[in-house]
Amino acid sequence: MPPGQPWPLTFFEGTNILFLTYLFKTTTVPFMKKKSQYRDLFPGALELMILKSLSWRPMHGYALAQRLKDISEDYLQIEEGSLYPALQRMLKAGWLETEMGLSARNRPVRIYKVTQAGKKHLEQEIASVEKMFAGITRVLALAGR
Amino acid sequence: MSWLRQLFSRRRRYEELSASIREHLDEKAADLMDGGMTREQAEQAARRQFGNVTLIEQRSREVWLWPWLESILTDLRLILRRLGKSPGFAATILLTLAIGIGANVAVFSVVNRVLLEPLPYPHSNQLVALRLDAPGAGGLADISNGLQLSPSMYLTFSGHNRSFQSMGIWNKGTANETGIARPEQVRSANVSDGVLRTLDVMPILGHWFSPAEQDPRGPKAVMLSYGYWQRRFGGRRDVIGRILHVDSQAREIVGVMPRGFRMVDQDFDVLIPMAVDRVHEKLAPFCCDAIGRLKPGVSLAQADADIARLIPVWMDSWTNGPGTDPQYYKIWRITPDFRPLKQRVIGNVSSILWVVMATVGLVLLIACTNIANLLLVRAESRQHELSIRTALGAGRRRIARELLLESVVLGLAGGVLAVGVAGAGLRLLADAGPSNLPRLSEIALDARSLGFTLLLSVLSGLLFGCIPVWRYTRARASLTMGGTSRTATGGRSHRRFRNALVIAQTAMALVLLVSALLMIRTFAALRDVQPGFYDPAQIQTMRITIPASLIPNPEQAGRTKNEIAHRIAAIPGVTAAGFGAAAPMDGIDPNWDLIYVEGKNYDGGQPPLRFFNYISPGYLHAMGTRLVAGRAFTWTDIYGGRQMVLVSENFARDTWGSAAAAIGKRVRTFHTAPWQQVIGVVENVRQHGLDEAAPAIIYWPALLEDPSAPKPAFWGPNSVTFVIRSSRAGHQEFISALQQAVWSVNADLPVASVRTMQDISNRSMARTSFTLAMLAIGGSMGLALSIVGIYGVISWSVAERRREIGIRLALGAQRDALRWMFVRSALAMTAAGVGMGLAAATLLMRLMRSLLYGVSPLDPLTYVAVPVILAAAALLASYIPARRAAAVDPIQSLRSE
Repeated sequence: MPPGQPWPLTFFEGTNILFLTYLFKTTTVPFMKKKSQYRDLFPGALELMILKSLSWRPMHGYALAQRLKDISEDYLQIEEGSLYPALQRMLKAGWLETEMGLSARNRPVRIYKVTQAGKKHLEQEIASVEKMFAGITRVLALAGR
Repeated sequence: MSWLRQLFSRRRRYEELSASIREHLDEKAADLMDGGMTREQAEQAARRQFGNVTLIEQRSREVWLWPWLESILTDLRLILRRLGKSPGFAATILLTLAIGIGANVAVFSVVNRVLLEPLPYPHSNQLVALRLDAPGAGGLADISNGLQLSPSMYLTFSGHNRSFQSMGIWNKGTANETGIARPEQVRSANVSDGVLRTLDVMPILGHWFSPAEQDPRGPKAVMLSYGYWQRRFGGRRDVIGRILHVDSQAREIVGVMPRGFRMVDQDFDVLIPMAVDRVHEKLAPFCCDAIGRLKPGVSLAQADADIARLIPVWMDSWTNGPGTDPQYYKIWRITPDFRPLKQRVIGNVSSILWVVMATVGLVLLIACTNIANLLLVRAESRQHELSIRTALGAGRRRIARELLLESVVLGLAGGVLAVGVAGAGLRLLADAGPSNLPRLSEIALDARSLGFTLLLSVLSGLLFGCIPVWRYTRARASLTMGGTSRTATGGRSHRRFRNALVIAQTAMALVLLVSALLMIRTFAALRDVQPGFYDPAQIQTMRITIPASLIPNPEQAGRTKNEIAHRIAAIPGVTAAGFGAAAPMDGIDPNWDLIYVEGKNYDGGQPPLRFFNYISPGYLHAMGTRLVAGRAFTWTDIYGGRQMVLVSENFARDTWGSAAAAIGKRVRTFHTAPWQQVIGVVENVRQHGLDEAAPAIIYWPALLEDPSAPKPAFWGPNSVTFVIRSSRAGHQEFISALQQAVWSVNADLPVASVRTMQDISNRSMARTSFTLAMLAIGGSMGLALSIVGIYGVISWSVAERRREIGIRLALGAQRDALRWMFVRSALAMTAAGVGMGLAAATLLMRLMRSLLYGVSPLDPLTYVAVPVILAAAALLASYIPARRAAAVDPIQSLRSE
């Protein structure tokens, strides 16, 4: 992955970044190392992140894993292997498709690409997640008063 | 579809998945090597950080849900391979199932069509048969159909009731159709106004009869059935408006009814308006079936009450002519007893069908227990394999799934074969079934039957499959690897369980055999009945109708019939010929009426109603019916207008004490009628079937002076059955000779219902012989299956106890005693089964009472014979394996391990 690329935070725009930090700190991804300080991600969260990453640029599996690791820093513990069942689920749902491409080392690899259906699903999911975040934020902000 | 596509692309998907993971690891290792690791270190680190590659690959594959399907497929392949390896085992089970399920499906198809499906009329649940009870009307109101309605009743009821949307009366008959080609006798249904409206089926061409066409003085009309329209007019649409000559009456064709339309339970060719004459109707005759369509929400009880109110109105409104008492019918105690029309159509057939259904159901149950036993034995011989698999971590559910899958596969394969068996069985039923089975011709394997097959296949698969599964999963706790072959005898509970299956089987077989034997005894009793006629195969019968429109003068009609009988008697090979208004068992009752005996007083002033038949000279001789005393009619007597009757022997004995005493005594039908002299006494005849007692019969001459006519006039029945005794009866050339003889007298007379008395009497036995055949097949199948069951269990236990037998022999056991040991256990099982079966049979056979004749449902002979048969079967079935046990060589059997 070329260094220095900015993490495209567009889908988090308009959301309280502090809350996102809180959310990520308290969640884990399925198949992550079981550590008690991490909590399970909400269902579909991993898929959402994969979709977002791949819609920015089609990637092969390793590149995707690296990318997620780099940008989530140590907020999220994502085991590389756990991407694959998720990728298969998304292939089955028709959100992704594969094609042959070249890796950064110029090796032939399978590249995962977001389909039209995947794009649509991503938009819907972002909208609904933002609504949820807004709701939770509001409740957390006001419930204690 | 996408599901299927996914299924077929799974190999490519799996390869792509593995390639993806491999690329991932390669890239990662390359990155790590850039960081300074060796290739080996880098690859290891890459794998470590990736996680469990195999597990992740497996999980990723499971996303597609193929692994589950694949394991089922693997199981299936394994099952098929295993079944293929033991073709005898598989064939036994499949054949048993095919017959068991097939018989059930065939009978179900019949039951479904006959008993479960509604009648083919719109809102048929509103339709009722207007059946009247009349306990005082003697034979006029029989038990099943009750008293029929008279046209005047119909007029009163339909005009004043509050419960019915519409009602109508009808009767079936025959009519002579002339003028198109050869004269033909057609089946007619005479329908009053309201019948078609009640059934509510529109014609496909033309219209229902109009009120004008139902007026006796209006235009004459006729409607055709679909079949007759096709047969006689080739389905031409311009048939409406054409003229058809029915009973020499020109009638305009006004409509054609759709295919499959029947008058309640009758097929017909033409519908003729009954044209009830309001001016001249009397209280009698009680000639007609009646149907009605209830208003929505009206119950049968309400309808009964409504019509009960109208019966006195009916008696007040009509008369039987001057000098008669219109209130006479009070002593008949007429009350409405309306029934759903469906019940009327089904009649007594339902009891046979349920018995047959129960029989084949029992056979299937026996078959299932047998198969369960086989599978149990098989599961036990696989115990070693199963315990190894359990030890390797196969879950209980996983193994149960495989066992159940195996039995369901067997069940389904058996079901596929069963469809063929059922198809053949239905054809057999259609040929051999009782003729009064309604809608027999419409029965076919439809979607419902196929659904039933599927259901039955899966259910029986689960039934005989769950027994080994249940045994296996319960016994698992005690399973130890390798321990099974060392124990001297197998699990005691296993054996006890298999024995229980055999006992249940024997009990069911006993019930079947008892019912079969009772039917055989019924059949034999019926065969021994003296029907009142002899050598029925040599009696040819045919029916001829001379309508009043063809020969209006009754005397002339009588002479025509006389001439026909005369010509027939001249045919070579004919030893006697005559005719009567009805032949025994042909389903025709010419008349029931009062008969007063001279010098006798009756309780209530009224004698009971008696069966009247009208016969010609030669009739009794042709039938072979003996004269017990006196003599028969002659033509001279008849044309001389002599007042005379013959009576049946039972009537003579009841009335005058003996047959001889009856001669010369006098009877009459009403007070002002002339006295009739009894000139002969005739042997009793089973007029209504072999299984019904012979009625008292008054025989009148076929041509007689009408006592109710104002001036002396002859009268005779329009329709008569000719009976001809000849050794050539039933042969085609003989029948055409008969036809020629008829046509040489009058070319406009069709000949109908050409049968021998044997056919008629067989038809009267059809119900019994059909039930007998079904029960005999069921009983012998049950017996065969239970022999196989006993044989299987005993020979398995012999094989299982070889070591024990060896030890016993080595210690000096007698071979006879050993043989006896096995035979005894078989007999013990049979005894237990017989005990249970007898208890069940005594309860169940009461349900069969209506099908039995001349034998009690608790017939001692049957209840002794069947256990003896079963015991003999058990002896036979156990003796063969027991001999094998006694032949065991102790040295070999002990050394073999």
